Amino acid sequence: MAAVLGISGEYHDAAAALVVDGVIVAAVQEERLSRVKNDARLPIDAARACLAHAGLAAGDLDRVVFYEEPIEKLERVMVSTLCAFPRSLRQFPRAIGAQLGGKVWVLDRIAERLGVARDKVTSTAHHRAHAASAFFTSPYPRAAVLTVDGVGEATSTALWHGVDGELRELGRIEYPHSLGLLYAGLTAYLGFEVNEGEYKVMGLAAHGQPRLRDELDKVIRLHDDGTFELELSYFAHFADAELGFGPVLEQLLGPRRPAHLAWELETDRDRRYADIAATLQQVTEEALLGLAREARRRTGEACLCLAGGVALNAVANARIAREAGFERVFVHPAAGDAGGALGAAILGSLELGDRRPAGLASAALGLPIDVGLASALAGELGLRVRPSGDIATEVATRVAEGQIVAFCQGRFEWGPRALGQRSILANPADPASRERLNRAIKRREPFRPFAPAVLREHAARFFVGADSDMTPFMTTVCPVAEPYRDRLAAVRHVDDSARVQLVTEGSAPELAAVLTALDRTIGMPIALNTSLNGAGEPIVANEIDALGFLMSHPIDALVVGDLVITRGAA
Amino acid sequence: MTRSRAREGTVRAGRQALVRLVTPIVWRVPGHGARKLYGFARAEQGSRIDLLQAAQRTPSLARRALYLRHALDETRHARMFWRRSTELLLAEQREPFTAPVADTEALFARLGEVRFLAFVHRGERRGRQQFELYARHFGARGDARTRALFEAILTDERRHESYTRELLVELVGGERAARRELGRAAAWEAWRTWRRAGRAVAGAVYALAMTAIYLVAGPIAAIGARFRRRRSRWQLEAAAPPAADPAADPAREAAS
Repeated sequence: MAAVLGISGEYHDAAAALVVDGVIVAAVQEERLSRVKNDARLPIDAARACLAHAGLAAGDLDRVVFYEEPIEKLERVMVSTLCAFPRSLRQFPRAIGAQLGGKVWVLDRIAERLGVARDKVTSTAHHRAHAASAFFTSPYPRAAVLTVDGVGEATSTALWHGVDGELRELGRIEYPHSLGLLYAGLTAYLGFEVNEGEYKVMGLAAHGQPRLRDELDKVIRLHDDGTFELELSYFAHFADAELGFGPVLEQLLGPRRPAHLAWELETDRDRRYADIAATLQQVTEEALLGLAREARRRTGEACLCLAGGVALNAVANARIAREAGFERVFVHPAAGDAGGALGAAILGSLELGDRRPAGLASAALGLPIDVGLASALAGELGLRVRPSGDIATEVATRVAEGQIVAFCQGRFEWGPRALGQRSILANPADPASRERLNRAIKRREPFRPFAPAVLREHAARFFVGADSDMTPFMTTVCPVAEPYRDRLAAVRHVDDSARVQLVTEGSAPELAAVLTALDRTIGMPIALNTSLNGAGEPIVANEIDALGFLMSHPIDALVVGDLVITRGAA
Repeated sequence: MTRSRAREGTVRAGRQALVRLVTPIVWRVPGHGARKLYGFARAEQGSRIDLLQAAQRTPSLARRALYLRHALDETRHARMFWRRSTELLLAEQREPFTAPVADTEALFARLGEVRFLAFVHRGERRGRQQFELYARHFGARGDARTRALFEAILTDERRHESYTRELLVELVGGERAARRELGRAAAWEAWRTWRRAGRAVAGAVYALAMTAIYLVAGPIAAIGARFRRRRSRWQLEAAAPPAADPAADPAREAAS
């Protein structure tokens, strides 16, 4: 019986997660509280929020587990930058400075900042934390586990075998050979921000054709045993962590795309960049497929769990589910570094003799929204507040009329996806709503698709093969059924796929009620569901963020609990 | 007027005179104007985050609303400064900056509400004075667009300056106590500047030392790297994996 806090941070996506007596009690990403996008600093506020939610104090903790081994990371950073001499002249002092100036002392700092005894603070390997986050929250008693990201301490990719409460490493691929760094480098080449723009590359890929395979085959070689090798002359992650690619890549693919230019996919210039994205996506899918097949061959398991930033590639996950030979696939909803906090907490809990947690039924592991405070503050701000007797029908009616509604219910989600707790809802059949959302509210590139949320029991009617262990958490895509392709125009991507979320009473009861009401009003239990955040901002956490969003974005209404809040005098 | 207030007034006037003197030179340096506007965008973005955190932490509903409104103004200002910076850079055929990202110093948590308010008030007053100067400067130069930008933001800055002062007086119970808090905030800012300068010097010394180490150790490491085979294959060979149990039901009940 133990209370264990897991911590990730000091690189990007800092988070804290609390496991008490083998039960996942809370998991919070620091950015939601600090309002700094991808906040990397030690997640002290998130840790305190988790403890407060459980009614615990720092002194009640039996263990705090950091998701990475700091000394091993220092060693890798030092050796890799030194070996890149003289290209890493500027990077070396900066990288070593960051390590010695803080990161290497992270366990002491956690103990000091949280006020826990130093001997209670331990660490675990980065990829082990990822693997634990995926396997121990999956519904499988035994599975192959793949963790794929940029880099942890020295590992970029690892293969594991999970059986009940145990995880055994079967193999690893080490830095600098990394699918995450390949994707990040090309993300920067295409003019997007690394660690932020990878989703955009995935969306862009559907608009292109994989015509540059010969070129990309020079950048990465795939081997028969599932491993891969980067041709390092094209990269610069050891010399320039921001950019990730070198001038040789521009010689191969042409000049990088300037970040500020508006996307015009009908022009030759941008079609070529879309083709590069499509080729990158194809190569990434094939690399992941190779790894997954190797995992299947080595473990003989019927189920696969995935984690690590690359596992957020929903399109690749769909291919793995179709082609790798597994019966079932699960991807942790916070597959990126934030998820490592939960994995670290679970590992600590298991070590202290607690049982393995139950499979994740809902990602609503954050802090609840305060409906009373939202009402009072909205009044203070001069907004119109009205309780609704039937909030689900009211939301459905507004959405059916083409309105855009911000929807806040209960505890916020764990991971980068809005799953009905902090969502923006719109009519899935109305392309005008999509345009308005893209241009006026989210201010994002026109090629990026929106996702549908659908009631699980009706999903098969609208989407092909939607019922999987990934769709409750929006970590895969599936084709829109032929008869509904025109009607679901606002949530269908250019390749007729959609990143579907299957909703049940258990996972998001309020959203399920809205979808039921939508079935009555528009004849489909489906809503366009996107995250409740402005451009470049973290997803809304509390009532203050939600009201701020309403006041600064042209949405039609904000729903908090059973309150309908609109602009204009009360 | 006390002696300390007179001294403060003199310092402020001196600073203003200096800014007036260098402004025409500084803004004419190619690319510098855009960089400066981008700097303002980042500062507004940082202020936005601090104010959102203040809105989360203050116990008063009324102040929560005030801080939230202020934070939304800062968001708008950040966007306006960034947009103008982008326009100027594109006009000079330079690549614009990416969306401004700022950090937070968690000022509300560190300073407490009273000192935080004093700090914000001082920042707003400084910003207002600076922006008035810049608005006049761009008006005189005939750059109506940049002048309009500063004037639009000035309207908000004046309001922020005034409400933070009123709140501060209300919280500490009078003008005299408010002035004392402003003085303490000024002292804290000076201490912060001193520490930042110290960090910058230490950083430079450290970078120098690291560069020296790099220049000595780098060539040896690089030579070593040439002979070291970069392995991309599986690094850890598996022991025999536990046998899969095909009869077992792979699904476990997901707990609710």
